[in-house]
Amino acid sequence: MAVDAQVRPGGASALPVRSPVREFAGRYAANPIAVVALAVLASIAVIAVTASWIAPQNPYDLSAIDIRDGRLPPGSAKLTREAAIGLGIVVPDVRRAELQFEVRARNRSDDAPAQALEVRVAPAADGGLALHLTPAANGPLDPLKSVQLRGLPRGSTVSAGRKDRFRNVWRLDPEELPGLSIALPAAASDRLQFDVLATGGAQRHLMTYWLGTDDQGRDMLSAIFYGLRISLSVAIASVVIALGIGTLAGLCAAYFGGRVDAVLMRIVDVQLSFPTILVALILLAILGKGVFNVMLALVIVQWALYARTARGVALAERQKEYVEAASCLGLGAGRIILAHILPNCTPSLIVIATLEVAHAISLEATLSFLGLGLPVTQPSLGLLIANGFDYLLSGYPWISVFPGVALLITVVAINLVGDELRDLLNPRLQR
Amino acid sequence: MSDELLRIEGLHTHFATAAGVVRAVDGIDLSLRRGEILGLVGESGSGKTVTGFSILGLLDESGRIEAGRIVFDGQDLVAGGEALMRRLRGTRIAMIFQDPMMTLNPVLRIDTQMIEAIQAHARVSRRVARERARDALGVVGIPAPDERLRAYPHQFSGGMRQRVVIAIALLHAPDLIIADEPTTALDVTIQAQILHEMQRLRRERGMALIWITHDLSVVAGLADRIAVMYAGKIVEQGDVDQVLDAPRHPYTYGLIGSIPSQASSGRQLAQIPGMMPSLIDPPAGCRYRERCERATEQCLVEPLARALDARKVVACHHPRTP
Amino acid sequence: MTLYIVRRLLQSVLVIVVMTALVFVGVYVIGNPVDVLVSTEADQEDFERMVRMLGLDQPLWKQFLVYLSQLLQGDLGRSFAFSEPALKLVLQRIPATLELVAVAMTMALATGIPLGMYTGLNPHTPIARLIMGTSIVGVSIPNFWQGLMLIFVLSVSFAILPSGGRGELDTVLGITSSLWTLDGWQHVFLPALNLALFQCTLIIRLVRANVREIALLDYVRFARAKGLARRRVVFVHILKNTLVVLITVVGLQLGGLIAYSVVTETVFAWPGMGKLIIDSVYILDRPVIVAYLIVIVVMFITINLVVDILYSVIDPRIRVAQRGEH
Repeated sequence: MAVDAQVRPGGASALPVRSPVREFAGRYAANPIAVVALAVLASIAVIAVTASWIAPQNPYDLSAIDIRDGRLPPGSAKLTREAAIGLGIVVPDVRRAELQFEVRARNRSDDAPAQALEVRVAPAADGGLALHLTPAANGPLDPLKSVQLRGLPRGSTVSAGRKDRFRNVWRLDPEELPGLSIALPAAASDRLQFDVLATGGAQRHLMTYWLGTDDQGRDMLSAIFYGLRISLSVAIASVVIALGIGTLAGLCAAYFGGRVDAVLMRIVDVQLSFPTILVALILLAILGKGVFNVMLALVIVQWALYARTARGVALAERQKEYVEAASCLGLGAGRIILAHILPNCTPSLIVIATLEVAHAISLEATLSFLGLGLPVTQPSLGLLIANGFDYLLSGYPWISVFPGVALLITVVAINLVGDELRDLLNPRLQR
Repeated sequence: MSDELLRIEGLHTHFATAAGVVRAVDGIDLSLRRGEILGLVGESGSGKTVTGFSILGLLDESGRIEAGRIVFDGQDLVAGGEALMRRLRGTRIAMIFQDPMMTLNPVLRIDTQMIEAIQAHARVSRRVARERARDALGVVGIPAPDERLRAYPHQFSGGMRQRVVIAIALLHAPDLIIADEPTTALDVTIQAQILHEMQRLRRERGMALIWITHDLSVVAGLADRIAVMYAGKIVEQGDVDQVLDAPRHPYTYGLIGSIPSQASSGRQLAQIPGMMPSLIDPPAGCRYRERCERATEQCLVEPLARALDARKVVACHHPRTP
Repeated sequence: MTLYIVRRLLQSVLVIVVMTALVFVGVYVIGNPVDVLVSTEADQEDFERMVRMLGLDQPLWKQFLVYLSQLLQGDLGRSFAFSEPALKLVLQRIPATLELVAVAMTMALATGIPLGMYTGLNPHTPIARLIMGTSIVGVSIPNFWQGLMLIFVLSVSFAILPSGGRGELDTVLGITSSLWTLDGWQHVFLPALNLALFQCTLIIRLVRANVREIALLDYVRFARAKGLARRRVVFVHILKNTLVVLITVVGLQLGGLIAYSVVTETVFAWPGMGKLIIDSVYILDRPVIVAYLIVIVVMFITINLVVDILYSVIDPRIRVAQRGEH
């Protein structure tokens, strides 16, 4: 409308002169949403770079993860393992008034010495056997957590606890231990031999699984940190390479024109008429998965966009007088392209490249989810989500929800920053 | 029935933009008699188009009439609101736009665009409406109107398109037509035809016309009176001959001086130095001050419009003597 | 006009030839064609028999001609997994995919156009801001994860809809589809919604931008100056011009939907051609992969062609530009 025309004449001269960078920063800061997005993006970048230092756990170090912690819900604690002990008890003659018995450790891998559990055996009133089990005070088994009696003669009854339905195992809680007695069957032999297994001891809090664990007992938060690093590096690397190739192709097309231009732009047109996901899918279906192939596919789907943009801007610049002046001065084609035309394409290319990083992250995640992308040794966010897919239906949603949230936040932040850059750098929209 | 058709009093129209409030029209007074042709002259951005849009209530969503009255045939249009406006638009006040290429909807046929304009105000059948549309095309001199009704706008030349637009404006025989530079986008020969057409229609129908233009030479042969706008204000208005032959405001004088004419051929054209001030934060006092050779300290105070004689009003502390 | 269509047709044929050549290069030159065409469990004897059968001792150009002639006869080899002609397998799956895409496109248009019109005409209301704020999430959200979340919320947590598969089929008027049964609708709803959401946000943004642009144009102001009711200005003058732009986009997005249906079909176990290609990639059923690629290329070229022609028929301005050109 007429308003535009009305603002410009006086408005332009009235603006205070500031350095372009500061003015740009000032205009960027005027949009609070874009500022928040930039802050989020910066944090994500820091997390990705420092993942191996700040992650609570190295999710791919098999000695650090414990499969017994698998599928723990968010907020669960990782504790030190409790001490366990297995004792073999041999009573040579049950009927002897003063019972003699022998205690020996059953296996070497026990976490506590045999002395950690004090065992006493005495004849009981009804011909049975009284069993006293006491953990050594402040020893590795104090407090006791669970006790099992194994290998008692068939038909024996223990005064407390529960017998396993299928195996000859009695399970007891620590509070059931006082006054414990074993009634032996009449036909039992004089010699009695059985095992005591006990666990207990104070457990130390090692860490909290804030986002739960996956099926392997891997901390999801750490896995997401590492996944962000892989997703971001694959995306950024492919964008940088595609940007280089595409810009070069676009500039050449614009500068040389003629047949070079026609052929390059025809390829660009045909390629851009296919959705990127489809092109990437076709390439990976032929090439097979792998880091290199994924990056190759990402580069191939992206270069055309940069080529078209660079060519468009460069064509407009080429018409301008300063380029003619430069070529009149006898400067070489390469020099004119790099020193004169390229700088003018930079703003548009920066905007597109920013938005394309988000696109590349999404695309890589999608391909990896489909099983066509990165191999399992490079667990990007997409692979983490794919892993959790099976458990989503069986009640462990966090395994795929949280990596997806991380992916979404990253992509939204990049898109918001890119949108703002586009608004600021697009001369057409500049007010 | 009073002789006065339109009176504008203290009109302020402002636009909210990211850079600040643009005072596009900043307190203008204007009046128009029935059957009169007023030339509203000014350079682009002086507020003349916004004045036209204010009368019809066609401002963009960012624009608002902040103060003032627009009285049309005894009714206050500002107070009357959108309902009153819609009744008047097209029936009693019509508008013609600058670029005929842009005024007609490219995806609708001419008959659709004319019939909807008729049916918006008259309860008539499609067939009757179509006949009226065809007659209207005939009036503005479009050959084979029956056939042309079924055409799309792009099948017309620029001049023909502007004739269609004029035909649409005339459909309900309005009392007032606001024409916003309707000939600027056309060839000179077509321009002359359209000007001639407008004068004939005015003669036959007695309608009033506000002709908005930046080109004094166009209104010279057409208008009865001229109002000159500068930076959102009217600096001078009066009968066409008086303003053109004896301009009192330095800006009007400068404007006339910058028109190439046969009399001035061979001599260097006068030009006005500098640019129009920003309307976001306009300078105090006379807005022409900084470009004016006659400016003094007194010009720091805003000059009020004063009648120099019965037919001429000037807003200047140091008007030129004719 | 006719000349234009003929020229576009020739172009399309050229692109198809180039694409099939690329597939040939991809499968026959880069990869070992015997690896590609013989199942991985084949023994040495099968291997040598296949080399002779494929004529790999022939020069490359001869191989290409043989490949082309087989292609023209619709012979793309047999699937290892199903031991049926690969092309037939792919073609069999097309109706399921098209059904999904059609429902998704309808959903996206039915919600996207009104919401886009609303936000374009009232850009500053809180509801419009909310819609636009949500739409940036809609554009950013990875489609496969969005599908998982839909399953999680609607199939697992609330158990309203089935989590995957296609419903009961029925044949009405000679068309076999799951859309004739309630069970079919229950099954198609979630995957179609997943496919539609992204399109919907795109359409909202596109319609909004167009409406805002068009609303400022002189012909809309002129329509208002004629004293037309707001309803008529919006639904005839603005909407009709928006739809002209929308038709091309919808046409091109149709291709996008077919492409993205690969993801949705995998997540929702929808038995369309997208699921077929992913399954085939897993088990390296390469004849099916090749058949899919060729079918999809032909589909895309056809869609692009139809959209171009449709657009030139619908928009009178373009129609004239072309007339001037020839």
